[in-house]
Order: sequence, then C-alpha cells, then structure tokens
Amino acid sequence: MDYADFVAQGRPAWDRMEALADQAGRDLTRLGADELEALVTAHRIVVSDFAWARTRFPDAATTQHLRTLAFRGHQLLAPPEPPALERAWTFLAHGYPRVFQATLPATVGATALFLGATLLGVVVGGVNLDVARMFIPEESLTGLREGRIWTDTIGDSQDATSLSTMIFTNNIRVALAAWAGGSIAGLGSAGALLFNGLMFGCMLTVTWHHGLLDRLHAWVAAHGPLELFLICCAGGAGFTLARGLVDDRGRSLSRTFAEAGRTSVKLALGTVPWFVLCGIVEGTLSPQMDVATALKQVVGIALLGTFLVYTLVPRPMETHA
Amino acid sequence: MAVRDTDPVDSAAFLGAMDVGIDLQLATPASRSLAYFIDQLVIWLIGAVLLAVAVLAGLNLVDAGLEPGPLIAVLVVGWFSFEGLWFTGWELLGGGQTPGKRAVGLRVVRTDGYAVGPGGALIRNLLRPLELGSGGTIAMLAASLTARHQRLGDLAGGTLVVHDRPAHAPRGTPTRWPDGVDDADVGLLESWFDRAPALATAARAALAERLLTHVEARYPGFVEAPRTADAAQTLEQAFAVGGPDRGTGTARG
Repeated sequence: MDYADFVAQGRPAWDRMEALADQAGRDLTRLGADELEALVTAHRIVVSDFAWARTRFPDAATTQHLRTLAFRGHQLLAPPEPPALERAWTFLAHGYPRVFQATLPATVGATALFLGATLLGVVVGGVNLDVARMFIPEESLTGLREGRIWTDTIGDSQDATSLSTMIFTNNIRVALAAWAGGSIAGLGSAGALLFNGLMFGCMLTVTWHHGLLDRLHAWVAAHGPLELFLICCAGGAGFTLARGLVDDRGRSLSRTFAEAGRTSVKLALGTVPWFVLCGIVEGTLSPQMDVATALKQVVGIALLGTFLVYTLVPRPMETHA
Repeated sequence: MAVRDTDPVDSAAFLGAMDVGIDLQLATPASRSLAYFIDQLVIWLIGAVLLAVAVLAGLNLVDAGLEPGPLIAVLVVGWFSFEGLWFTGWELLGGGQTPGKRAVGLRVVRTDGYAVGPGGALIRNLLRPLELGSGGTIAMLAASLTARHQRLGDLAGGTLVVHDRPAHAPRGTPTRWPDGVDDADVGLLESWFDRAPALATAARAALAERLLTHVEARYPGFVEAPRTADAAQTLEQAFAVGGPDRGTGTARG
C-alpha cells in the first residue's frame, strides 16, 4: 500500500475516533452504546495504522497524529475502577487491617526504636539534665522553673475547635514526615522516630525533675498512648517503603519500590482518621485538668485497645474477581 | 539489592490495543522543573489572594461577634488542603496535567500508560515535600539517576511523566504521492503543506521553489503540469492538496 492510499483509507476512521473522543472528553458515559462501540472499533484501526505508519513513515506528521490519537484512546478506554466510596469503605473495613498485619514487623521495629530513644532520653536526662533541657523550648523551661507546665495554658488561648484542628493537622504532618522519610533508605523515618522519642524521654525527665510529671501525665493520658503509637505506625510505613529499595526478589527497582510505595501509603493513610480522633481528644478532654487522670487513662487505654483490636483481628482473605 | 534501572532511555512505550507499543517521549528533569515553577507561581498568586479575602472576611465576622476559633480552624484546614491537594487534584481531574504541566506539554501517567488514579497521584504528591524540601536536590538526583527520569514519588506511585503535546492532523493534506516516496520526504512535504500558509510571501516562494526542484529531481515525471511562476501552487496541484484552508483536493495519482 502506498502512502496516499494509506492516508485516504485510514482518515475516515481517524477522524471518527477524534470526533468521538472529543465528544466523550474524559467521561465515556457521554457516549451512547453505538458510539462507544464505534470508538473502540475506530481506536483499533488507529492503533493498527499507527503501528504500520511508525514502521514505514516514522517522521510523517500523520504518524505523529496517529500516535496522539492512539495514546488518547489508550487512556480513554482504560479498564474501569470501582467507585471511590466503595473502595474507601473496603479499604477501611478490610484493606488497612490486612496491610497492617502483613507489615507488622516494620511497625514493631519502629515502635521499638521510638521506645528505645525515649529510654535513652530518660537516661541522658538522668545523667545530665542540661542536655535534656536542650530539647525543650526556653519559654517552657522558664515556666517549669516557676512551677508551671506549658500544657496548663494550651487550652486557655484557643477554643477546642481550633485547637483540635491545629493539633491533628500538625500530627498528620509529623506522621507524613516519618512516612516520607522512608524514601531515603529509611533514614528519614529512623531520624524522626529517634528525635521524637529522645525529645519525649527528655521531657519526662525534666518535668520529673521539676516535680510536674503528674501534670504532664494528666495532659497526655487520654490521647498520648494512641497518638504516639500512630507516629510509630507512620514510621513503620516509612520502613516498609524503604524495604522496596533493598528487597528486590529478583525484580527491577522501579517495580519493587512502586509495590512498597502502594503498601506503605495504605499504612500511612489508614492512620489519618485515628489522628483526627486523637486531635479531637487532645483538643477537648486533655486540657481539662479538673477531670480525674484515672478517667483519662481509661480513655487512653480504650482508644489504643480499640485501634489494636481493629487492626489485629484477622480479616478474610482478599478475593479477586 | 534490586536491579537498578540505570540505563537512561528517552521514551516510554505502553502496550496498547492488539499489543501495539505506543511510545512517548519522557519528560526531562529540566522540563519538569519548569512546569513545577509555573505551578508554584500560580499557587503563590492564588494563595495570596485567598488569604487576603479570608482575612478580610474573617475580620468582618469577628466584628459581627463571631468567635475567631472556628475561623482560624477553617483557615488552617483550608490552606493545608489547598497547598497539599493542588497537584493531586489537578492530576486527577485534569487527566494527569496541572496548569504548569499543561503549559510545558507534560502529562503524568501510570507506568502502563493509563491515566493516573487516586492512589498514584496521592503517593507521588505526598512524597513531593520531602523531595523538594532540600531545595529539590533529592528529586533532581532521583530523576537524573533513574532510567525513566522518575523521582522517588513516581517510583513509589508507579507513575511516569511524559511529553504529550497533541499533534494535530496536518492542515493541508496531500492526497497524491509519488510511488516509492520515502519517509523523510513525506515528513518534509507534510510539514511544508501544514505550515506554508503561515509563511511570509517571499520566504514561502523561495522555499517552494527549492522544494519543487527537489521533488522534480527525486521523482521524475511526478509533477505533470507545466511549471508556473507560483512554485507553491504547482506543488499543491502536483500533490492534490486538500484541507480546511484550501478546500478539498482531488486525487490524481
């Protein structure tokens, strides 16, 4: 076939496909059944003609045009995905707990690192209080020396709504940093866990030294257990991401890292609703210093327990259609 | 250690219908940086306007006796969402193109060439602050070192950025071609008939004369009609050119 015949014979189908693609935009439901069938047929002709033209006339403008049309059809006729709400529900009900269980060693490792750093902070503070004080802002230290703890005044300056919002957005940022740090071979995640653990340990020692540990305990008892564990979960998600860089199983880096990315982002995203819950508790119940610490402890343990039951109870195996 | 994708390539091929590969040029770190800069500029401009409007509206509401707490909460969540969701939102709703990418002619796609989905868009953009936080060093390093110019977000999200500046159908369409015409001449002549109407008269005449001489030498006997003073018109007649700007030509070959 010569070039003139090729263009003359193919052009009606190419024009038809372009017109139908324009009509559909990015939404195939704008096309009727007949039009959809015509689009699929025209796209197959375009792809076939593109393959021929690319071999015989790679530099022709018609070939470039066919490439554009073939790619457009490729994107438009992609296999459909389930509706977003259905996917979100399936993920929260089954997907997240399943991923959490599959990657439990990473979360356990992250938690161990955080607790180890906390213990180190306590020891460092015990040996040299001045080093521990470096992790606490000067303004807060001044208050501690005067017998006041910063947590007493957090609720005074803002109402519960704005406080909760700021707290959970900030906590989500911290968790995202702990997760994203996994992409630099896990160093960022490990750094975030070490720093936060060390800071927490130093804070415990310094407040104990000033006789205000019970006040700090009264502040963190309700939201602290779950919130700190969620940060460890985000760190574990970071380690899962980092694993994609080193555990190849004989496949290419891009493939293992992409798989690890998908798994780890599920881990990180699954913590978001729980961070919001923690923020609400931290903005409302935690600042109430007239509420008994024992009651706050019960709330804190109940929150952590609920999360652990939700994530660790075995789920049915994933089925593929 | 994983097998490294370090052999650089300049195009990505996606397996389309009937297993035909559709190849597109990969975006380079430079073109991606330009697109990002344009997006960031737009974000700053819109952000400044939104912030000014929100502050003015907020002051009025506070004057009217409303508590500032909820307003601050709305502002914090609003900015967090706006800044964080700009890229994800555009890539999902704009077919893989933010305004910056559209301006530069880039598109984010899955590694199989399909449109990027919520998961891929979210992952690649959640990693963006970390990669760009160091002045873009991590992103530039990753994009330069990986074969398909993927930054870490692309690797984790299973995405690629490709050049996708749509090629339109040639405006002037030759419907008659010499037997055995080769690829280079097809490209040259289609390009000529596409662009000739936009050229200045003198340049058009000079180029048409050279092209006509080339065609006569390469394909003897193809130009049947006697030469006229207007070489461009002779070429159009010889190739039976039709198209939106010229009316429909009639095939003679």
